Amino acid sequence: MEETLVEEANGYRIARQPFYLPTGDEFRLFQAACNARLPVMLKGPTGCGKTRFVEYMAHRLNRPLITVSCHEDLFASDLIGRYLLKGDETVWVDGPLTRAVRLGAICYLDEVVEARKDTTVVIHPLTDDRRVLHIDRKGEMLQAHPNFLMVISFNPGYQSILKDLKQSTRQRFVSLEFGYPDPETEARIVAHEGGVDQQTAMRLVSLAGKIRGIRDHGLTEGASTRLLIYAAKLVHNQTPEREACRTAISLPLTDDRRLQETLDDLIDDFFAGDGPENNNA
Amino acid sequence: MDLKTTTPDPLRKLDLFDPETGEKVRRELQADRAAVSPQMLCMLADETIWGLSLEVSFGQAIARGMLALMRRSPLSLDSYRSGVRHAGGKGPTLGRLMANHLVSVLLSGHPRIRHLFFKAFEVMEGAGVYTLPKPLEALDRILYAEDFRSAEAYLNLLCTTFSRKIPYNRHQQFTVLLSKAALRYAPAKRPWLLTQIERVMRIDDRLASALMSGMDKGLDLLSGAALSRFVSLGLDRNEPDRQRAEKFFALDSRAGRSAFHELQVAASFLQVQPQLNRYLQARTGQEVSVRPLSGLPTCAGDIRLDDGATCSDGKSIYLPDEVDHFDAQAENIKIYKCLTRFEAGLHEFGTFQFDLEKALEQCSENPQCRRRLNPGQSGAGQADAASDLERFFGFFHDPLLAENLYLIFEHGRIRRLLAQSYPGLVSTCLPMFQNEARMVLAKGANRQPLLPIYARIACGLPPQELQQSRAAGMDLVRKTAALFDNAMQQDGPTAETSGMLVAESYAEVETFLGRNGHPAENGSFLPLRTPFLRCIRPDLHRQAGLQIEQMARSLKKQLADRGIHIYASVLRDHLVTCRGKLRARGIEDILHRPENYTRRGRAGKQPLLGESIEIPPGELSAIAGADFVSSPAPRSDCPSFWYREWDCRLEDYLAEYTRVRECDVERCSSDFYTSTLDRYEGLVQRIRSAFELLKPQGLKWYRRWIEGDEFDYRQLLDFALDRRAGRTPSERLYIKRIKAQRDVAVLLLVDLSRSTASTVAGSEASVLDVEKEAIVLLSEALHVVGDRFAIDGFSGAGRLGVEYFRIKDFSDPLDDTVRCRIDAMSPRRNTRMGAAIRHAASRLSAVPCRVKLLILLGDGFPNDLNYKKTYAVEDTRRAIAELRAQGIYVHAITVNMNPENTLRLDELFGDIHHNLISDVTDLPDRLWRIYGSLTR
Ligand SMILES: Nc1ncnc2c1ncn2[C@@H]1O[C@H](COP(=O)(O)OP(=O)(O)OP(=O)(O)O)[C@@H](O)[C@H]1O
Ligand SMILES: [Mg+2]
Repeated sequence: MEETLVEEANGYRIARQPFYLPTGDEFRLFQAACNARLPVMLKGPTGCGKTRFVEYMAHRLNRPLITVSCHEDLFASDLIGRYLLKGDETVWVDGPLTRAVRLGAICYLDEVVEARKDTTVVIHPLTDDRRVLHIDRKGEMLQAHPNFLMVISFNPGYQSILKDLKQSTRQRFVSLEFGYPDPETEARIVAHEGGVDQQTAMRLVSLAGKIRGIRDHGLTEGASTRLLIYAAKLVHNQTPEREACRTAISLPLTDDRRLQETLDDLIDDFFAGDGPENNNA
Repeated sequence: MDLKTTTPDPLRKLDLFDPETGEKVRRELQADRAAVSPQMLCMLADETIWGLSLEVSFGQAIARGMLALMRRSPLSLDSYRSGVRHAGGKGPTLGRLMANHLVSVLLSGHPRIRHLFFKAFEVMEGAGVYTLPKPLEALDRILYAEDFRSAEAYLNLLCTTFSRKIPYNRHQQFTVLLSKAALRYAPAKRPWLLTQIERVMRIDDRLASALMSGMDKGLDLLSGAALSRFVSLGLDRNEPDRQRAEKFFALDSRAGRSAFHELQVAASFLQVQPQLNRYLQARTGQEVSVRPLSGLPTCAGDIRLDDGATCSDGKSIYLPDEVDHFDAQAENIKIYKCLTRFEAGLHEFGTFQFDLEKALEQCSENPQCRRRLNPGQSGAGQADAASDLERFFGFFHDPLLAENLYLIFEHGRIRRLLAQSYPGLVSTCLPMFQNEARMVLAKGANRQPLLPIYARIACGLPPQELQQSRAAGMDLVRKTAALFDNAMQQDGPTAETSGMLVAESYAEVETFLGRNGHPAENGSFLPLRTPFLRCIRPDLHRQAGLQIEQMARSLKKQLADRGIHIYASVLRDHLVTCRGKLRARGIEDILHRPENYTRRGRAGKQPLLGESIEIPPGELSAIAGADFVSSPAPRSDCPSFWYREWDCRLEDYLAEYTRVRECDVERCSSDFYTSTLDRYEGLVQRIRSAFELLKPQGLKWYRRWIEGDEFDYRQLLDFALDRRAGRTPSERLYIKRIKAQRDVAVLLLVDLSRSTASTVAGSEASVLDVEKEAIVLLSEALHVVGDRFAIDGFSGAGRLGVEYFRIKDFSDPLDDTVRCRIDAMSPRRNTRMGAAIRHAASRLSAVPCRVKLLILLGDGFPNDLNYKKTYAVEDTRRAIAELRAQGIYVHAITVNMNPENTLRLDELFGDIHHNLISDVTDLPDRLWRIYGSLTR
């Protein structure tokens, strides 16, 4: 039994160290929360590296990682598990949460607000000092493995008020705030992930800085690191810079034509047209 | 008529006839004793007497006219006399018109204009004397402006228009339309605009009005040839179909607009303004905006360069009103863009933060400069009013030369910094400036001795090119450029670096100019004309920031008195960021940064980090004046809220500009609510059942349902397994899809302006009374369906006096208090819609509902003190856009208004976002229906 557990757990380990650059104190804080067995909430805008961070920490702490992307149709039973028919027998199959609880893995619930309300009922006893999972169907109370860690992600920026997390859920987590990395770091990330030189990466980051600063024009969220990486990847694949930025940044960000025009103006400031660079003196 | 009599005083008979007029004429003549012959005087007397005998004002007009002609065009007196006699023969009114307006015609001295004038006069007289006065007044003004080409075109147009056989009221309209149009158009374009109107008028007067309205929408931006082409297109393409042609000319049809765009060459400021402003905000993150040069505050004596010069003050970038430098409009638009992009660099990289003290400190470190800057020379006289830059220039023998040199180095510095931060910008825009510099150089650089230096340093033209153009003083160019390049090698060159460069290079440039015979013009040289006339205007910047400057200086002095020496520019910046509202915290922050101290200050007293400096607020307020107190105390117990307002002329928000006060409605007790329900009893029943059925917004899946459209496979599995295990399985096996769960919050915002007091035709009730009934019915509907709703009213007067009444909060039950408040709503004053909408938004945004809706119930357009027409409409539109960006739906219902206004309402609210109900008595039965369909 022990054997298989270990084997199973190994299946969820991250083989290669993911690329991640710290943007603050997050390693230490995460580690501390982990040692204290406190569930963690990662707050931050889309595409700023939350998922990547969890993967990195799982590798660094050498824990298995089980990720669940939450959506409207996710039921408690999808997390916990259910009986299935096998030939003439009924067999119980663990859901991802149960598996993580047993294995002592990190369970990462991505975008937890998207999940149905009844899932929170399941999460609550697991995330206070009881650390137990009720498996209703089996009538079982599962005590969590000492290494089990619950991590959820949450983007507070432009959630509809309706989808806000309840206080009783919020107050079970310690929170790490994620923002966009500082320009230097972000440029290194973009250069690394997107396969472009440092200078181009820096320009993309400066561009994003301007876009993130736009107010009053109906932009709900600024350009994410992810979009910058997309643009970099296009450039890496021989797309002219301006076109890459338009495709990966201004068009995805908004449908408003006038806002796109402004974004394109900014892009033009950072990236030249096809003509030769004109930089004498 | 007695021309040959040689009475000693020909005016005697006039005196006898009408002493008053005689006296006037004498006084006039005394004013300048020009060569007035007795014959002339005699004619004047005779004609005037004749006129006076018909009508006093006629005679006086003749006297005035003849006096004017005697002085300036005595030869045309005969024409005048016969013209006036002819017209006066038909009656004094006609005669007076002729006597008044013939003067300017004859003074023009153009036979053709005279001929056309008589012709037009006759035609218009034929159409009716009423057509004459307005158009002729306009003609006078054109002629006095000596715009003879326009006058000719205008007269032609008058002839054509009033010889058309059209109804009286059309003619009447044209008297107004034409005279207004003629005076509105820019004189440079007026001749061909009028000619084209005339051309179309010959064919159809309706087409001509359409063309004129097209001109108001931008056709007047076209060049002469392009406009003529546009008209030909419009006539040819739409030959049989007059209506289509009308749409074409008025730019109401797509074909018209696209033809217009194709032909447009000049780019106008208005056309590019919004885009440039959005760009500037995004790029600088500051409140910088563009403005037309025509809006530049003119201050006599301060304008030294051409009018067309692009420049900035602290908040705005001034651009030409129109650019037609290139033959393609896209290129001209690009000029606007490039100018804005470069000019924004001045704001970003601190050109106007120039600090005299810093500059002098830097200069004193450099032996070269120290020698040249003679502090004794500083224009001490101007010291107080002048800005730091101006005072700095005052240190030099020729301040204008210093200013020009500063322009060169500063534009060079900005170019370098832009290239580092915005490589794309520089590589697209710089070539344009370079090409322009090349062209000017090729045209003859020796007339502009500083241009080659500018081209080299500010435009970055390579030296080889300058050599080719054989510009004078290549040596000087090389030396200056080397100085510049060297200075730019340092980290972060600042505005003061440019200042130092001025001091370093000044003597050599001055010598060079002297040697090459340039110190012409009163010992000064010919100032630099940069490509596209970009310039730096410290005077403008000073004017824009006068108050801040004074505060900064007094603050500096106060600190200096305590032995603390801080750069003025640091204090200035701080005052700008805190909008002149000084706080002790901010000053402390400044004092804790060593780099803010002047050299003298660095040597002296300086607080240690963490040590706090106590400046009693009393002293701060003494420095900063009344502005130290943060915000004006709100009146009484009404909570007030401040909102910004959109100023469409500035294309910018005015921050904290309107104050909305939440006021109480007077209580009353009445049975209005219940009596309304009784009155509409049948309707109430229908409303209730209709809303009972209304279960909108999206399908909701119910799993584990007893019946339904589909199996829930998870439950099905459990069912099978439970059966097998001998347990009693659950029967909830289905998925049901239903519309359910209305999660709607709606706020009904009622305009309580004075106009709602007007009574409804055929009844005693006022507009507002009927509205209130409708509100009662809607309340019932909302109550049935369970949506959260609030009712508010607004009115007020002036930007600081917007009143907002909370009739029913979202959380209030629909009880007697609320019912009474509904009844207590009464007509008040004006309609500052934007502010009220913004306040409503803040109320809505506090409600946790998924769908939020603002219904605006009003009876007219926004209107308040200094809140009219376009301004009011644009602010309201803006406020609505802000709400939509927050995810709040806005729907407007306008009652008691003429359906003709539909288009204007479309523009205000968006065509699918409003209803116009011209007969308010329809409202009770419409309001709830509209709501129902909005949330179906
Ligand atoms: N600090 C970082 N180090 C390395 N990569 C980073 C970092 N921050 C962001 N990234 C990169 O940004 C991209 C997006 O990150 P990720 O998918 O983790 O975002 P997220 O926060 O989970 O977004 P979402 O909320 O949309 O799920 C990844 O490709 C990752 O490489
Ligand atoms: Mg993610």
